[in-house]
Amino acid sequence: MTDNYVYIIVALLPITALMSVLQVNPYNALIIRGILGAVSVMIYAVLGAADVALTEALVGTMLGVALYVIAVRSSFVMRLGIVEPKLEPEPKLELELALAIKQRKIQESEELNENFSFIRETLFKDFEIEPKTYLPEVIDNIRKIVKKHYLRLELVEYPNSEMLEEALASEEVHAICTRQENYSNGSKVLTDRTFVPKDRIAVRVHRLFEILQPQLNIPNSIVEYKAGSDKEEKH
Amino acid sequence: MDSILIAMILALLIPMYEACRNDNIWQQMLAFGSIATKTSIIMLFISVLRDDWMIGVISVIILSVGNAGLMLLAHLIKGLNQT
Repeated sequence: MTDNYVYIIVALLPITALMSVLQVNPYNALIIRGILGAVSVMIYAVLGAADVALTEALVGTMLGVALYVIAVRSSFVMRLGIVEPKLEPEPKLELELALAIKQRKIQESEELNENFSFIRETLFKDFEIEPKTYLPEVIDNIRKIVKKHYLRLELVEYPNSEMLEEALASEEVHAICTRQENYSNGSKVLTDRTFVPKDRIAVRVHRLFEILQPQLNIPNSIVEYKAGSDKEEKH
Repeated sequence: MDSILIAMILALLIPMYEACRNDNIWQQMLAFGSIATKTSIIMLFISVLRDDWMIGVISVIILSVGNAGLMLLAHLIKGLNQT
């Protein structure tokens, strides 16, 4: 009954098991798990247990791996909240133009200097400058960093920054990315023309903060940790 | 006949090495498909060798269902790469 080739077939099982253990990427590990299932089906069938082989193939390999792929796909995700972009044609150019006109007027009349902040605020209100200009770069950078840890980045858009903060507090998202508006209370910013807004990324999960903080090397962006209501860490 | 079978088992090691070495997920899926088909064919061969119809029927079922499972898995992974 015990033929010699049975030993060789059985020896394949620990090899595939070792391969599956050594995989780092969860999806690749699941495919190797499928290979392990195929090999074990062969062993069961060769040893004469046809019912066990059929069950292993249908439930263990097919259903099990498919369900695990769905589970990993829905849990290995980082939800990043952003303010949804407004549709406007080239706000930056228009702003530059308006700034130039205003500055010339201001240079002509010295007494207007003290009204800088008022002019700036009306300017930004008129053109509805949304803190979005640098965000794609930041999001791409975060996506790259997070991909090293086999996480997907899912963007969740909110209409305004208040709802964004609320979503972070109520644990709807893992992190939020906002543009910090420094120009609201200083009159210097308008005079030097290269005004640089600051991107702020607030992270709720401490492990994500540990991953993001050392690797995010974009100028004018800060990563900060905001502890949630409960200290439990989850991904 | 045993030597043919051992040659088939050795051929099974080739896609296993490929699955172990490659990091690309589609290469691994190819290796998985190859292994799933090869194991079913080996089981069919053994069933003929032993004149055992039970193993033969099981191997045919697994040959067809395994391919369906592979399709399902490929579809899930494809949807993953698109999002």
